[in-house]
Amino acid sequence: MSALRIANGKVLDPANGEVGVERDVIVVDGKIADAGSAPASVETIDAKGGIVMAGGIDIHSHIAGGKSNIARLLMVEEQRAFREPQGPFCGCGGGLSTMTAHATGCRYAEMGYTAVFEPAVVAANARHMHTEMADIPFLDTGGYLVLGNDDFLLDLIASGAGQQAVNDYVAWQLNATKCMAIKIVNPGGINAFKFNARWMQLDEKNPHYEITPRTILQTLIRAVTELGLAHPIHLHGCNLGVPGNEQTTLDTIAAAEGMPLHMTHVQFHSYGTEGDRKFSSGAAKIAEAVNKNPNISIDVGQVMFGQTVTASADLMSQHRNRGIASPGRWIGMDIEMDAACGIVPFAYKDKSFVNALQWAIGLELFLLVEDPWRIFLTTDHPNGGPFTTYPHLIRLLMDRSFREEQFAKLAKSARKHSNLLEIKREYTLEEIAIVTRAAPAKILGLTDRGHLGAGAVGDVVVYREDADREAMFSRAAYVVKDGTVIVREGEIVDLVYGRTHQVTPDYDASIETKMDRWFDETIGYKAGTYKISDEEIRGGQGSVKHATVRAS
Amino acid sequence: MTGLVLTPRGAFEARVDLSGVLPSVEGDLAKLKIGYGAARAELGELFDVSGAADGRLTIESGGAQLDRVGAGLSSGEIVVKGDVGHQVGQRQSGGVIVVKGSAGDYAASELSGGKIAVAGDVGARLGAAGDGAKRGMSGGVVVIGGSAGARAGERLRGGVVLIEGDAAEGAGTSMIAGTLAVMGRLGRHAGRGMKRGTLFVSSPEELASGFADAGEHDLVMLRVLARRSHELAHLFGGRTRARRFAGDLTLGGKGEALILSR
Amino acid sequence: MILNGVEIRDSFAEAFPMVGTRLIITADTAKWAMIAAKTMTGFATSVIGCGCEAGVEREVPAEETPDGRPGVAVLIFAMDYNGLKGVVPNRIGQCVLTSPTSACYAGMEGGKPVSIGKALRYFGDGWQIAKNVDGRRIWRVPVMEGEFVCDHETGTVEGVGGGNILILATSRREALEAAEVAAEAMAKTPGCVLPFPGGIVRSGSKVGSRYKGMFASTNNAYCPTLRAQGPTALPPEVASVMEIVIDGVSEKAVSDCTRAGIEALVKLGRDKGVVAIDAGNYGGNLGPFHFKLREIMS
Repeated sequence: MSALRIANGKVLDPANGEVGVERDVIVVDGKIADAGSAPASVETIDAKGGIVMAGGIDIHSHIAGGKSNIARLLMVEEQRAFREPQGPFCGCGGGLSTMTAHATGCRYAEMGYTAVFEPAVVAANARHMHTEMADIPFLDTGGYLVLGNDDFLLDLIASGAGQQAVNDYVAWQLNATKCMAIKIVNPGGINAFKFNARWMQLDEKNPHYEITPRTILQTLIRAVTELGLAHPIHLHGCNLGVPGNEQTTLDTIAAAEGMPLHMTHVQFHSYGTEGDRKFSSGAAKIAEAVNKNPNISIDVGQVMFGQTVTASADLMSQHRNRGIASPGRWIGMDIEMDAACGIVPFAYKDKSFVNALQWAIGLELFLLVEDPWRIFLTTDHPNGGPFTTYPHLIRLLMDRSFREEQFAKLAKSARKHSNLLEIKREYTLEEIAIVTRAAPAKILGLTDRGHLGAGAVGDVVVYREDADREAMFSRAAYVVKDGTVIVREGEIVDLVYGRTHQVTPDYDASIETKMDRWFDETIGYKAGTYKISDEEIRGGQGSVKHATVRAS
Repeated sequence: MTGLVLTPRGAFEARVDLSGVLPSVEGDLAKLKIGYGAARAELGELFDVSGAADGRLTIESGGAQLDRVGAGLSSGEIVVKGDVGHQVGQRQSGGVIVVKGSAGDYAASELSGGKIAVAGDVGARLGAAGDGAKRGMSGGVVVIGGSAGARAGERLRGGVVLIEGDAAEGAGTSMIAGTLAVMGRLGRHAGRGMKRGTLFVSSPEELASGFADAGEHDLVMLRVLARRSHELAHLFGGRTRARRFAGDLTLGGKGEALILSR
Repeated sequence: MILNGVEIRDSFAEAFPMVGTRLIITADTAKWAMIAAKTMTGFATSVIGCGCEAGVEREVPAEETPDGRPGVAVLIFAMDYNGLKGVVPNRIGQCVLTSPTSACYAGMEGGKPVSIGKALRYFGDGWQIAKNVDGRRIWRVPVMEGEFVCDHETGTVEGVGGGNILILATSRREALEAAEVAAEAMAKTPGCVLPFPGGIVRSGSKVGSRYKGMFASTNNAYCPTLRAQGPTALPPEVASVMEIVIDGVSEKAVSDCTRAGIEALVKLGRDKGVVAIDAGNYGGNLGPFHFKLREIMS
């Protein structure tokens, strides 16, 4: 039996209503135990003057898979510019917006994150994604399977096969790819791109299948609801980055018709067309709609200034953006005729009107959405900026005078177009704990994570109290993963690996024959080859299968 | 004054990454953390550090496992009394590195200023673009007393490289600009993909197929270069005429290979 | 002050700041280097009418030039940096680039740069080649005769323009002979040029005119034929006046040059017809540099 006592810290555990409670946290055999149940011999960490929280959870960060690897190739100079120095635990890899697997784990762990989820698993690349996620140390991971542009699904919907057939297909795909949720990227739009469409509205018909994004979205929302997945549809909507897409976003919220829907990187979907430059903030309207619709949750996808790389399955929008690539190179590719990928490097500049306003729009969303349980802290790593900017972002949210200082550095034209200065709200530490831990765990259905109650996994972080919140959240004083101390004073001190989360909803076995035929006839390899076996996930060890409730 | 002196304490069990070990370094050099294989070690664990900092650093006896000697050097002098490993003088912007023995691959990679002199041979890709870079050496002077490995001066974009011995295949591959001189024999496919810049060679035999004879000329340029570069003056030996081969024409390149006339 | 019978008048030359540069022009032979230099410094007597003032500073021996061929140093002065920036590439392009076997190099460093090859390379129509050695870039522009080689740019200096002396002599012949001797002596001063024909001006001017739009007109107080028609600066025995104008890279260069001229004239003496040495000025309120003849000779 191994045991650890984190003593003398102030516990900040919003899921259990503890705000700054001075108590010891006991971890026994990798799980949080009752305070009284500590064995006699216990290793003790002195967390005096520290804030104790559950391990951080990033709900949306592109850390693995085909697009990450392509981005690394495209931005090969980054691997040299940000090289991991030799060392006992983190001495390999590098990069910033195109970080290698090992470096990803190290950087997240140093900031106190212990679970990060890959939000765009293209089914054909799921095997790659799992292999790479298993290579990321310290972190629990899991993938959201991208559906909504795959021909089999679009054909099911177009041919009127019925919701049950869709449900079976979705369940079959989740089992085959070992993913934990369903993501939709530009519903039907990526497919339409291949039929030469360059724009896709919510109620515009796909040129080939003649079904609309609204239909695809509603069908898949129904599917995950009926399959009983904990996480709702994770939606990257239509018209990403297009001025005026605020209306699309509002229409999409309405299209959910009260069913649960998670809308991701909403900052990129909150643009109006007001003002002399026909680009304005739609944050207030979107936030108002989110506040009114308790079925909606969002993550922000905050833009942070500096060089990064945007990597997305949304080839339609990446193709639109290719002209503003910086440095001037990009990759757009089809993936197995069933999905796509676009990589466009980008440098967000505070003196650029558009970039500065994007920055302000993201912050407006953070500050105007009232319920911290329905908004999550992300930069859509690496699309809005690398995740290493989170501590800076936290300071922007918590420290109004700092925020105003940064605002003053923006392009003058953007300052005139933003109402950010009128918003006085400052996030409390408790709210930060919610948006970075408690709420992500809740929306993902991870009941044993994101809190410090007895029975939760032993992922615990101690932050040294510091008025400079950026410094405070940059280097955790201690990070404990499953009961093992992995970080001391911001330095990695041990190497451990996390688990892979997945769901395994059951489905009508008769779909197997259909899928076999589909793979034989159109994909070109066997469905059996496509399916990932249990042994392939972390060598058969370390996968966590979450229960689903099939409501059929 | 001999400045700082590093004497290896014994044989190295892994490659040693000496980046950061520069004559200008402040504080206790022996405490400096350097790369040793996959781990880090203090310089003092591997070397006896003696002398005082005066802008000069001497490495006694050297070794082919000493990588990145003088990487990023901007001023001062480093003298190695023996061999060095890979990437000697990588991204050096000033100062002088003298290697009395031989050097490994990627010597003078992306050098932008200063001088590197290697008495012996160098490995592949002398002065070339390193991982993730588009351009190789952009300035400064490199003199190799011996021979160079494959693709010397690959993607060179400035400066003067003088190889007194032979150059293996692909010298001056994809050269962007700059001057690469090979006094000895030339390996195959020299200058392939050359965009601009000047190769000085002793025979046209091994030039890439995209080079075409443009005749013999008295070039005023040679007279100017001889007066601005000791190394080129040494190469020219007073000659002002050269046979000009233009290339690599298969890629629309505007480079040249010059063969000095007797 | 009277030296060897020559009166050094208590007067001063009033001079102005100018921005100048030096170029080294070389060629296969000294003859062609000089032809190129003379051509490119031609029609450059007065900045008012020519946009610049220029002249040959000296011949440069082959061993001193950037390419080891015989050369000529020229100095070019304009009223300001912008003026110089325009006139230098223009003159090199028309008169040096075109001149057989020539090459053109920077003759000074420092100051704001003025383009040579930076502007002229475009004549190469894409075939031009830059070579950057020892931190300095030269351009090779392919031309019908071979290659025109030049430096990328040259430095500039804040110089002095409009230093002068007036030679008052007893006849036209004696005035010219004395001026020739003085000009020859003055041309040897480093850092100076005498921009007028042969270094000599026979038509010194005053500021202003009775005609609208003319900034300068004949200096009637020194015109011997007008001595009966108004105030004159000429004693009865003076029948002709010549002027020598000096532009230099520094105040000292102009001062040294002035002294060299006066010394040569004094050496000739009253016996060779030199009556007095004077200088042109505008009352001292226009130009910041005052070269007082008696101070220079004391």
